[in-house]
Amino acid sequence: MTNGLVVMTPTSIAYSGTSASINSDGSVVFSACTSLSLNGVFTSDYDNYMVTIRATGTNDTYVRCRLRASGVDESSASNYYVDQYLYALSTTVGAARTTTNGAQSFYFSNAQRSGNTAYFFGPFLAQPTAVREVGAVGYQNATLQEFAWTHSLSNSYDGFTFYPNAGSLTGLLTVFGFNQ
Amino acid sequence: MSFTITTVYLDGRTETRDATPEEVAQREADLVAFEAERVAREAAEAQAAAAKASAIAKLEALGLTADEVSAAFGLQVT
Repeated sequence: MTNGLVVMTPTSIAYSGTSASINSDGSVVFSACTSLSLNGVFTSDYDNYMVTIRATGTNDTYVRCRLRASGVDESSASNYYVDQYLYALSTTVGAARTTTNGAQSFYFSNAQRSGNTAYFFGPFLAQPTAVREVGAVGYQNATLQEFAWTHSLSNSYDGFTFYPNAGSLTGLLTVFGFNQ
Repeated sequence: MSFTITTVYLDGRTETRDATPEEVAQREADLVAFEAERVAREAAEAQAAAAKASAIAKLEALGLTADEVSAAFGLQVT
């Protein structure tokens, strides 16, 4: 196999909301979901992964993420380190930090549009995971956003769950492994 | 609060179940935590905006123009 991105088709997904399904190309389409979990997308084949998401939401709200193993979310607040957030909207550039999360910020959602790319570094490895997300969202017409967070446990995770703080999400995502 | 979770497998099978008490409790705790975080974040943003407005007013009182305030301190005078 040549070097490059490899689509990681989930072994299964779990959702709350109207509908979600696994497409034949490995992507996952979801409609009006209040949570969506992907299982079996992180494997021993690759160390690092990229997740692309296009979505709309019913609310202007943060979307949260939890790592997941064998169908169970890791939800202990003490196991997630700092969540760091940079944003630029209108003429304002700002930043925020949260230190007591039981789930980390994934991206900020809005009803018009959002496009986001998240990088998961070593989620399947038995070592702490790092995640970085960059995206564009239609909040106040256009907002640039970037999130970074880390997880403290040296555990192996094969998937993740994401969900909005409020309302529901509709869109499509694909997980890619970095083959090298 | 109650909700269902549907699992979809690659072979097309689906299973729908009620969320467990632990899952319901987690979601309820999440909602409380997220609301507290939203309130704190908005308070911090309001405080920062007020401090920025105060700084601009004091600089302008010293005789600086809006362009000078923006160029020297990066503060957008609106």
